[in-house]
Amino acid sequence: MLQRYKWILLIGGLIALILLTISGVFSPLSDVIRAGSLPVVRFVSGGTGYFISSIKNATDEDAKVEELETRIQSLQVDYVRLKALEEENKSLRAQAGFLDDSGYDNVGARVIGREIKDRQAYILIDRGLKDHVELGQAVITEDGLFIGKIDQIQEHISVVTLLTDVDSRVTAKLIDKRELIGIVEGRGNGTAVLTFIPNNAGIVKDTIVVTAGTESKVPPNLVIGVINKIEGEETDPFLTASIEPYALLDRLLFVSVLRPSVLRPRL
Amino acid sequence: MIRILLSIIAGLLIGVWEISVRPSLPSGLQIPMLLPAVALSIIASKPSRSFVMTLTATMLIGLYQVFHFDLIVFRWVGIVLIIISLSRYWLTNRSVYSSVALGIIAQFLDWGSHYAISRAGILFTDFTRGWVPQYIWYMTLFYDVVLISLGFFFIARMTSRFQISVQKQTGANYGIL
Repeated sequence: MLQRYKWILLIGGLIALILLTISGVFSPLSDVIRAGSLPVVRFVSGGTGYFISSIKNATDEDAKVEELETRIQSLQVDYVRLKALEEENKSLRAQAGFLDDSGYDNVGARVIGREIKDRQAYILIDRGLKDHVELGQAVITEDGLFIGKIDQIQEHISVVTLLTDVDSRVTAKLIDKRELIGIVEGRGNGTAVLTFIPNNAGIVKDTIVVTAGTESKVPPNLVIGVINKIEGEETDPFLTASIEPYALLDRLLFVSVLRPSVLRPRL
Repeated sequence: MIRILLSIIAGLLIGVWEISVRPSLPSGLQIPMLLPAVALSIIASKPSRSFVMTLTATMLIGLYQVFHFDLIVFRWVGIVLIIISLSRYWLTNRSVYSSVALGIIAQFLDWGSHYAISRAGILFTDFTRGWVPQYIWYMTLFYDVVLISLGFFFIARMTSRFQISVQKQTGANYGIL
């Protein structure tokens, strides 16, 4: 009989604990423990990130040298490509100065976790409610490239949904145009597409796509990527274009959250 | 007491690995640590130490598991209970094969429960997406098998836990001499 009561008590206690966990009773305690463990997690994930990134860069550099040697040997200098890169460089330099006069302030954050699977692409950053981070705010790389938006926030941490995630949506325009051209939708596996492009928009391959600025917390002219393939028939009302994101989303170590300057905490 | 403290430290190290190191590795090299450590501790140690290690590791992981709805601590307590029961009543011989089998069962229990709970979270909480396994899920199983096997051989070599005690049968045993 006593044994039976023991089991009932145990199962009842477990169910009560689960319900209390779901209801968020333990959230303040979790926040305290998280705040205490965050420096260790930040340090270890930063160290691992640097280590992996340096290995990847070394491999990439070897591949680049090989590619350049092949090019030199075949004496094929692509003048048009160089001009395009020059234009791209100009636009990126323009972006670097963006924060000065945009009315936005940036909060630097370290990437402390990531979940980049086939259809899902999120990162965890070490900034949260206490840093005045809000849902929907744009997140950019150190170079000013748009990578995604804040999706979940807690006291000390936030989740960023990257632009290649299947649930990611952001309005976009072409770099040299003022009007909205379509919506950049994530397709998973590191890819994104620009959808709902009006047929008469006159888009061409290799055009740079930037944020349109129609969303309240995403400023305009943040570089998203470049169009590398356009799909659709002449009779179709809308076209679709594949976008190649500029940011290396699997190698992010530091990012910046853009928040309106008015939300900057007063010291 | 020292052994319990060591279990807590092991749990913390496993937690830090699962939170900070593993997700930063390339997808084919994301070596799991929690499951092999739990499987080996159940086979080679006392259930209480396995519980302490699992609780410490999962509590730490749970703090940073914010992408999907998950009850990782409760899930893993359940998994450990099932694995302990299996090791006592079914896969009772302490061989490398039974250890690997327990590890594989634990892995499928982890995936199944994680998927089910994250989906339930979509229905009953504010979370909008569920957990999905990595598309190269077989690599996780491969690492589980390799780590459990290596760990088993290491423990067998360093200690006498898995050695079958065979008493030399002599006439003295039977009272002849």
